[in-house]
Amino acid sequence: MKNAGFRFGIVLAVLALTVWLLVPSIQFYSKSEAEQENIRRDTPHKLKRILNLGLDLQGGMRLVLEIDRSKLDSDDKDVIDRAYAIIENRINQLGVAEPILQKQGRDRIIVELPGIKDEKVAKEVIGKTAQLEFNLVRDDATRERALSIIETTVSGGKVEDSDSEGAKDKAAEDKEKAEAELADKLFSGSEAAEAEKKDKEGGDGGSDPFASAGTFRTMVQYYGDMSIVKTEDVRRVSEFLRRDDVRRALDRAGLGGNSFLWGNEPVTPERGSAATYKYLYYVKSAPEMKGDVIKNAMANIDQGGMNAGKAKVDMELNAAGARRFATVTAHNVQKCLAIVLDSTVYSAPRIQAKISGGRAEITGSFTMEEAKALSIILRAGALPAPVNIIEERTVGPSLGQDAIEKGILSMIIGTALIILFMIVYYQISGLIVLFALFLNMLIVLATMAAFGATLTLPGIAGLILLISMGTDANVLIFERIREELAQGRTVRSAIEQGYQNALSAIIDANLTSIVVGFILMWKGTGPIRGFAVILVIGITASLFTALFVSKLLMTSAFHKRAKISI
Amino acid sequence: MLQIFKNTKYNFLGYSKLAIGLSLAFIGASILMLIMNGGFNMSVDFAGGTTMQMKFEQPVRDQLPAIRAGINELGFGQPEIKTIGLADNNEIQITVRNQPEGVDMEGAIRTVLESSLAGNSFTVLRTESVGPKIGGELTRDAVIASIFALLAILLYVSIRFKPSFAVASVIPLFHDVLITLGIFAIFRLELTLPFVAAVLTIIGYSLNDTIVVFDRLRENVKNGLRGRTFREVANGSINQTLSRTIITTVTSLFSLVALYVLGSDAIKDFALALTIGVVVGTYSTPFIAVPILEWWNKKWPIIK
Repeated sequence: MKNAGFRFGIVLAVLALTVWLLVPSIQFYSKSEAEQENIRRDTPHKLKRILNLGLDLQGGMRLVLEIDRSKLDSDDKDVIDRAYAIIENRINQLGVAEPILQKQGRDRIIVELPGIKDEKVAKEVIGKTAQLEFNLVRDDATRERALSIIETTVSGGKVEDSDSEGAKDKAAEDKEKAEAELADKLFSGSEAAEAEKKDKEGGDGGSDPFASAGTFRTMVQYYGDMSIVKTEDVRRVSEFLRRDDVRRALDRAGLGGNSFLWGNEPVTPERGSAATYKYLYYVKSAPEMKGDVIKNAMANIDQGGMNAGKAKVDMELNAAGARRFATVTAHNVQKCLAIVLDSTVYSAPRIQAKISGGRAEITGSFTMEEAKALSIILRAGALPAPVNIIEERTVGPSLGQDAIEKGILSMIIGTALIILFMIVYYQISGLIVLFALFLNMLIVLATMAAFGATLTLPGIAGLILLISMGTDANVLIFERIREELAQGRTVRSAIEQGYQNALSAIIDANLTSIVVGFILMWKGTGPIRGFAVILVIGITASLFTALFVSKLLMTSAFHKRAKISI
Repeated sequence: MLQIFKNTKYNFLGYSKLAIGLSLAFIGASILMLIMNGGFNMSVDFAGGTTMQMKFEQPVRDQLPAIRAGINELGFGQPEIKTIGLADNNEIQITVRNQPEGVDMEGAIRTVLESSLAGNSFTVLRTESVGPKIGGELTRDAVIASIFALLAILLYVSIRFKPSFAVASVIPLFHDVLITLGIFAIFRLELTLPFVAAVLTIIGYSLNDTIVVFDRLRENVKNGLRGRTFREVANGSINQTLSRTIITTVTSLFSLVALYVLGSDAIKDFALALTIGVVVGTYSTPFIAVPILEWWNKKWPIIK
């Protein structure tokens, strides 16, 4: 054969190139899980050249978000860019390794978070739809007044005028009573106290309009100066707060411009009890500022002063925000300013003094985690448009791990069977086929690694088809060589004729598949495209290995021999 | 030298009427089953909805009615709940299909379980939640891609062979996909997104198989029929490529059956579809594709 040395050179060069391209992937996957995690987090650029496993194989979360244009005022052109920037920012805050974020069309953003452990938190952070706002918290007396009005309304009583003294007295009375009840419960275990309390209320019903219905007021309890509601009662209280007659009553009392909002984190005031409560805030509905005034926010450890060593959040505002903030804080010293995202109060720090210069500090009894979470909420700022999650796929890490382990095992067994069959059936020539198939797989995987492509379940389907078609090309040739030998040709001429006669079948079968592959790459989406990419790369590689590599090996091995091991 | 088939002379085309009859009967039976079963068992990928697979700490069987009632109360219809694996596995799968756009069904189901099953904590192994719009888009995209792919095949085979060969190679593809779908319909197996990839693979495999036989036929009639009947040449071509066909099919089945027997749940149905497809795709060449060509040749002679 002419230029045999040159041809061997090409095969070796391809082999060396594929191995070189696959080294980073092999190195990465042979590391322990913890080390992999570190690499993903600290040096993600290294992952650009490795073969990634799809979420269906390694576990993780995929979200498709769609901007809800029906909730936008005008047809905002760069709304997707802003949404993208903010979602990207939020995802980075989550600290997920190798997140993938992609715009699709003009309304959609695809988020892929491989190996995520807490999908609930991720979804919460990403899918937040409402804007971040700063609302003034109404003082305790105003909240009490509102609660009393609601109680009166829901229990069917008359609502007093807005400046009625009586309401305030009642409120104060109620507060004391509820505080006593909570104290009771704190010290005497919940079950007994609950029953006792109910008895008491049942007893002195009738005469007292507040206790007669009892339901609303007893659900809203006290924790220091704050109002709290048992988590299981939150829904019922919300229903009361939403009622039309309640709203009208509050309007009449001059409290229309305020809203009740729930706190974010559940609190557990009763030590040793599993019961959780949520804060109920009463805030001015019109926000003092919106989230877009925030330039940056960061969780830090307080360096000095009374709170040294404690976690705090440093917030930096833009110029307009700084001016606004100075005004707001100057007028509302000692009041609380709620940080509200999606109608949920994340924190309500007290304004200690006028803050000018655009730098504020939120201190309190945070853990570092809570401070971080709050700074994330602040930094993420206002999402410019509401987004809906229109698709969500999560594969837990254990399921993904299971899929990989079983997949590898079944592939090993399937491959071993093919190897066995080839060697038994075609002997030495069988080994040549196996080498050709092996090189075929290496080329596909190496190409994928070079482009940092992702292997998914449909991709595995593509690989299986590829092994089939690669085997088929070689089997076609070998069967043809056998036919030529049976007709009495010499080994040399049988090999030549075998390759020549099998050529048209191999070309036509493979080219049809490549054409289909290109069509699917062009028209297909998602899993179809992943499949098509592997098909196109693989069949090109298959043509090379069957028509060039295996031919070279066959001719070199048997050209000068009188007998052929086929 | 080990050889499975040597100089076989099977009369494949002699059985073509029987084979086509069997195929049509099977397809008819699957359609009947499909109607009786009330349509395909479409996964939420296409139909829209939410499927969650979760593992509980403690036995959950007695709590299933409570779960069902709780989810039903959400107002999105009756959930489908099935247990997965052995009973002491405590794994269940919940599917809610009626899902309006923009509803966080996953969160809602979680909340129901957390509140109605206090004390029995769970971990979510898998969630698939697809809005109705996306589901429709997926189906549409798959159909459009397939139509374009079929047109491309028709064009390529028409140019490299003849239009008659093109038609005869495309019809069996429908046959293979229909039979695979039929088996999924009969056994109520779920049609998922990877199933689309499986169908594409089946098409690729079946087409490859058909092209190989057609290539041999093309070669055998290069110089005309020379006194042989079309059937003789066609049967000869199938027989000449028979050992190749069997070897390729057997080796393909090695990996597929291994994948089916040993693979994870997610991959099992997928491997099953491929296994059926490979067998049917191999069967359809001599029993569907070549008979179509023979029939065509009778009407409008392809080869003189």
